[in-house]
Amino acid sequence: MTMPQINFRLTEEEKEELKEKAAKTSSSLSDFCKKLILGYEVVNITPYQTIDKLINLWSELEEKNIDKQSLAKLKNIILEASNQ
Amino acid sequence: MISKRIQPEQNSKILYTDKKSTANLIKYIENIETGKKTHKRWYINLPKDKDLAIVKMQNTQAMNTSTSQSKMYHYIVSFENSEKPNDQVMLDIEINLSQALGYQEYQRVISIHDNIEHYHMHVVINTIHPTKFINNNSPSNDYYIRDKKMRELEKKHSLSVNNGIEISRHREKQIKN
Repeated sequence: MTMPQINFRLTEEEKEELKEKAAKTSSSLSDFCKKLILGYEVVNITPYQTIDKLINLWSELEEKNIDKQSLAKLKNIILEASNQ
Repeated sequence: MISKRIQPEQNSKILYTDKKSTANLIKYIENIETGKKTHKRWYINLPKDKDLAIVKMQNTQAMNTSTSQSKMYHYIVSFENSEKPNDQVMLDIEINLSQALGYQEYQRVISIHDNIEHYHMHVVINTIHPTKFINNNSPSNDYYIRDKKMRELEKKHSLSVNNGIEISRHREKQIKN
């Protein structure tokens, strides 16, 4: 059975920017979460679980005082994904 | 203080059953649509951002597809005219009441309003458990449990004591069990 996938619709520039942020700020994050924030294809989990993990990532980054612009970007990704 | 559970049918605008109603209810208690000012709000077991909190609640609710019952428990705690407990006390009251009802681990949104005569607090609980995804929509004897806990909290925080209800021995035994 093919599990649903989520297209985060990130531009290459946005991916690079998030990649830099993730490298700087998320050393303790799991590889899985890093893949999510970089906009990799997500397989083998449901959209609900994916979004849930992204929200957990947002909370984790928010606690680490990551800059508001990046948080807002991640929030938009989550909201867009949840509306699909 | 007194408390009251708001049943879905008492609020014709909101049915508490689908994805849209969760968002509507949160917006409603935060007075976003009516434009009235919310004094304070907390998100418990949820992200601190309102939009993400709503998405998280909707996601958790979507994991339970078997129930046709309401997935929200909405209650109000209201205070005497002259009383306006501080935020710490309000939060302690909510935590104790929700714990007594068995909702300690559940996702909750709390909103405090001072837009009418009585200072009051709305509590909206997602009744789908965040990891087990079972629906705990109707805790038994919830009215009596809230009432009993409120009498304790009134003493604890030196608030005016409400007469409350007289709990029969039989009912008290049920609550203990």
